[in-house]
Amino acid sequence: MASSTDLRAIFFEEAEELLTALDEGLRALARGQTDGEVINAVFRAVHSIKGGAAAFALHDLVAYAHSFESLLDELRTGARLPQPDCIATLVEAADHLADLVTCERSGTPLDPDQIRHALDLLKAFGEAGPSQVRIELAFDPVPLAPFEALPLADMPSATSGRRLRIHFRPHADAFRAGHDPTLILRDLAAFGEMDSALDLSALPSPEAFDPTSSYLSWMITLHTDRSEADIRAIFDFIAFHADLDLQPDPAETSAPPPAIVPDLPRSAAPTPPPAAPPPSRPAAPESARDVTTAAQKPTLRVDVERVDRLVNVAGELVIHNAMLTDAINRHPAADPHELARSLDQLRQLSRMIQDSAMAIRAQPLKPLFDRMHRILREAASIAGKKARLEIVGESTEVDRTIIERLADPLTHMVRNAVDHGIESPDRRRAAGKPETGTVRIEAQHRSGRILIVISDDGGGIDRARVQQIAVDRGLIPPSADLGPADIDALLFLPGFSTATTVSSLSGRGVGMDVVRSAILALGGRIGITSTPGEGTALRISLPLTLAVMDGMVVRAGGQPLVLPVSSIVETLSFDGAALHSLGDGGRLVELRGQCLPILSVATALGLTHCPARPQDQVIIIVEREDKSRLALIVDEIDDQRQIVIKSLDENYGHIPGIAAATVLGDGSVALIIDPAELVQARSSRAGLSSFSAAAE
Amino acid sequence: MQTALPTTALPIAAAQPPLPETTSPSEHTPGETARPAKPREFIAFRAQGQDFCIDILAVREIRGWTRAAALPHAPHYVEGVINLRGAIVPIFDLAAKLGLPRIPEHDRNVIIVTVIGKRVVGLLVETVTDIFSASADAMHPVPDLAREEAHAALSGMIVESGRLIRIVDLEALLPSTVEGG
Repeated sequence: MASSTDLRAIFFEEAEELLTALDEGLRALARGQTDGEVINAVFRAVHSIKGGAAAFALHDLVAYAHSFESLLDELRTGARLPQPDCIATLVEAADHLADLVTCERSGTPLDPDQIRHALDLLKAFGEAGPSQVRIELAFDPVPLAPFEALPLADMPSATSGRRLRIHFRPHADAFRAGHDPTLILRDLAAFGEMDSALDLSALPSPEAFDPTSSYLSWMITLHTDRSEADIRAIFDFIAFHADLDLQPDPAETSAPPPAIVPDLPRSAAPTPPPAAPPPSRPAAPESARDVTTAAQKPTLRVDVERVDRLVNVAGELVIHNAMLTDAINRHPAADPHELARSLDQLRQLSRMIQDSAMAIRAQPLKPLFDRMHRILREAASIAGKKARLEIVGESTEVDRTIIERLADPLTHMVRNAVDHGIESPDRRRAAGKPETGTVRIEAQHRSGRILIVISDDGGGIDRARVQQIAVDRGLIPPSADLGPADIDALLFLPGFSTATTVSSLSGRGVGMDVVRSAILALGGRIGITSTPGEGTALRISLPLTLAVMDGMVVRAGGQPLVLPVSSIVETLSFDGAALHSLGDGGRLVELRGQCLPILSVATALGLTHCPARPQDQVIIIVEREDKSRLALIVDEIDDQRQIVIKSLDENYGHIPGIAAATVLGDGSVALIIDPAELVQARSSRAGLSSFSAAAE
Repeated sequence: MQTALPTTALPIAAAQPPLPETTSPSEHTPGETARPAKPREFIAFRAQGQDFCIDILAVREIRGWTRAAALPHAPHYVEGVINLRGAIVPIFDLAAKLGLPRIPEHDRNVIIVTVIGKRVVGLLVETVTDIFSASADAMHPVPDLAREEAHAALSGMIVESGRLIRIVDLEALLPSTVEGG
């Protein structure tokens, strides 16, 4: 049975969904879609939140939602028209409602003044409206006292329906009339979840027992969404030979769970006039669900831990497949064709299992992107700018972990776009642009990765200023002659922030370098392009999953290692390469006019090096996210294959230059190299030195 | 006594954390040791000619030797990592940790897979000798004249049928590992 904390968690999860639906509905209203369905969806969202909050005695939330709902009710009944100022108030109210939910969830009480202020605003608006609708707090929530005794605890998912108590007593002559109560009970059970208690008290002593008479009666508790008439219809046939007593479950009427069944007649709570939905509304018990299903396809909430396990097992399967392949290759069997065929099937199968396991974790970016509407709105109002958000490809799916860890960087980039990208309305008018700037988030799948572009139609990067700041902060030498792309890349340097004052938006010292490292940590890359006067675009490329990647298996220092294929630009044989020595023993390779520093992987990792003949060695050119390239020397290239990523941190800890580990076909462990960190592991001057080296 | 136990999974709940008292029996005051304590079971093993033991509740399984993949920038006593049914498990050379020479590579070496806190860690030893039980009053603190490494890695000693068996402080193996990484 679900505990009260579980129920709370479910309420907050549903509240999130409802808030998203609310936001969506309000945006539709703002676009001029003012038909009844949209307003109803908005109303239902607020109403369901109120109902749920009442069940958990969250008084602030209930009070606010109630006022909010009253205002919406005026819209719904047509007493008020959805004019822009009204919608603006509603949007603000929705934000405040979201804040309240967040506060209740985290248990941090919101400033009471703030709550009162928001409430007053809403009331003031309501009173100033065309109709005199009373917004008094008549709604008196009844908290759910013993959670465990609640019907909804049994079935948090079966949200619709109600509980009925049916007392069914066939008369003594029921059998003789040809009735069979078991058939009726079976039909009844098909209507929903049924609990029946057999009452044997009427059973006579064995001597008086008449096998053709019926002595039994049943006390049935039925959880169903069917109407009472439907239920009575079942008993139609036996109506003359049985007593039937049908009533709502008393356990429920005394403590209605409004989050789930918002429209049950509340006998214990005084019904607030504006808030109570008409009890006769059809499909009313499903209203809580309607809001979410209308907004998005039904989603399956899965315990992440379970899914992780499935992903792990699927990964195992891939490994074992590789092991089998290896074993058979070593001992060639009699019929190689048959073997090859069965192996092929096994490989297909394991890929399928793995893909479907991954699919469970894949989720659309929509909820994340939708949150950006509010971020943009707030950022624009603080900065005194006008901006709107355009979203493309929000149905693109990506691993859940990536979505979670993308939230902060994305928030920051959207704020940056408003704060630094979009110009003030005056300047936009002067430049002949529409006053309202556009921030655009676009997502799409591209060759096994996901590409997200955040662009604005603002003024573009002020390169002269960026360079000046970089010089002022000592990030680059004053004499540095940088191309436009190099200057744009300066934004990603640690400690760079173009805001001269610390505004409450961006510019809190954490700049694009934090965004960049967050993206890098996800195995992604980030790049920036900007056209003066036309805007800036940040392009992020991310892997679809964090569990599997394409790797190149190489050998260095007598040990197999894996390089992510995504970072490899090209490979060279040692012989043909134009090598140059630098004074202190460092070496460079010249490649099409570009000099790249050479790094021996074995040396960088401090592995005991049994040097292969230099001419047998291979040079692998890798590119890091800041576009700087590096030539890695390895002994040989073994293979290129999909590898399953295994954490080293779990049982050991982080190793500089190593991203994770994997298991090869023979069951041995190979470490996965992180090319970006490999250099940092060696030189403390980190990316900066290589950057200025590239610039000079 | 030289019977190595290749891959014998002990019937012990896998994720069971070591008993609280495993961590520091040496801290028991004499008053406490006088109290009749429940005898604890230990698994005894040899490394570089010395006898050691750990609380049996910390042991998850005992495996035959597998070559470990070396880890860069690791402390000297870290052999590397092995694949334990899909999990990457680090292997520590207990002798090296105590300042003794490294355990020579041999097919009959044994890996004791232990659970320390939430981490799964393998100990490389030469042989597993036996399982014995000892009560708290049979345990002695490590004398001061022992080397510092030994002090850091051992939590006590037991004299058992003429042998001196050193109790390994598993917790002490970890923190330095993390620093090393």
